[in-house]
Amino acid sequence: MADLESRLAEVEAELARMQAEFEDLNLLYQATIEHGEAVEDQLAESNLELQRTQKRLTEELTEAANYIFSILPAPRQEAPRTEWLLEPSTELGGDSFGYHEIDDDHLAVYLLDVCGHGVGAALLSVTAINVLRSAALPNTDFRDPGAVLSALNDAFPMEKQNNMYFTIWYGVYRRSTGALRYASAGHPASVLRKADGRVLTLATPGIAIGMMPDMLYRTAHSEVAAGDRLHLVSDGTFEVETAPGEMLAFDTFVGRLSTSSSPAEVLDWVRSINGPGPLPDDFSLLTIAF
Amino acid sequence: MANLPHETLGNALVLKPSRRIDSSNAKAFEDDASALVDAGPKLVVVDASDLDYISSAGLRVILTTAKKAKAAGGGLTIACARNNVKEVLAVSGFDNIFGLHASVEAAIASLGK
Repeated sequence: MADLESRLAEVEAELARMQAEFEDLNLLYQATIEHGEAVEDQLAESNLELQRTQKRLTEELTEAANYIFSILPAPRQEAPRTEWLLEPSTELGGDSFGYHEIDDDHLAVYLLDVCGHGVGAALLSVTAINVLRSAALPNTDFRDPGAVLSALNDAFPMEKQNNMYFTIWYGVYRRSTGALRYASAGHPASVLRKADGRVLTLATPGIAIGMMPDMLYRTAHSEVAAGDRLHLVSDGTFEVETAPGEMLAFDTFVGRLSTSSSPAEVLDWVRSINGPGPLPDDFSLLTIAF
Repeated sequence: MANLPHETLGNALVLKPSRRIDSSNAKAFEDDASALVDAGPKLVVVDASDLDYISSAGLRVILTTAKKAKAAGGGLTIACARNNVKEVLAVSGFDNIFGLHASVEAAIASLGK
């Protein structure tokens, strides 16, 4: 009898212990559930905040991209006619270009490429284009491309531009003589397809604008006549991979470009080589038809 | 590239970047090169024998390394550039500014002058 009683007492004590533990676990469970719900609420709020921020960012980037396009000049319908295409690789790129009449005998034509992408590069690109369009460099003859590049280089040292520099091709066409003066800085050559089918590449030696102070850029000379077409490009126009580790050769690109009839055609061709997905860099092509 | 391959030959630091310098690894190159120039010779040769491709991001860090070496009383030049890389160095005008040499030895010799 005593055995049974003591065993009963043990079991009752064990039961009491288990009940206490069960109550503790129950409390813990409840607390965990509540904590989980609080975390879910926080997550939902963070997601909402994130979405709002992303929306605002996208809107602002779109506004900036619109501005960049808005300052590109309308295609010219009178000789020399122009046609162009700008396809930034991200929302905002570092490429820009333009043309304007310096006086009634001279037409300036230019295309520049700021290193990098995004807002920073776009800001410099827009600044430089505006400076060129408004001829806002001191003591500079804007009909002399070498002088323009030297003045640009003095005005935009990279140390004062958040370590950014840009490449540029700048040309001046003189209607009365058909002369084309030009200078380039670290930039791919422009392609001149003559009416008789000959293809010339026009560039001058010189490093990108802003890299090194006190550079002298030389002006080179060519001639254009009715039926000639001049194409200004940036390196993003043709630097795509043909195969892993192999780039499209500039010469191959020049060959295709000189037989093309529109910038869109060239873009399609470059896209077909690049394959699916965005191009690695801004695609810019400005064609002047004399 | 982490741990930019390099060696010291005589009084020159020879940097040997491999395969590519582009936006994915340009910062690492810049940081590594900067530390090496700080710690060692200020005469820098970029040995491009292993380089297949250099992007504009790559050009930029070559330039910043050159400016750093120059500011420290040294300089930078380039050796053994080939194919695409040689073309990019020509279009960018880096060939004239920094000099291209056919061998590391010739590059080191040119820096001594």
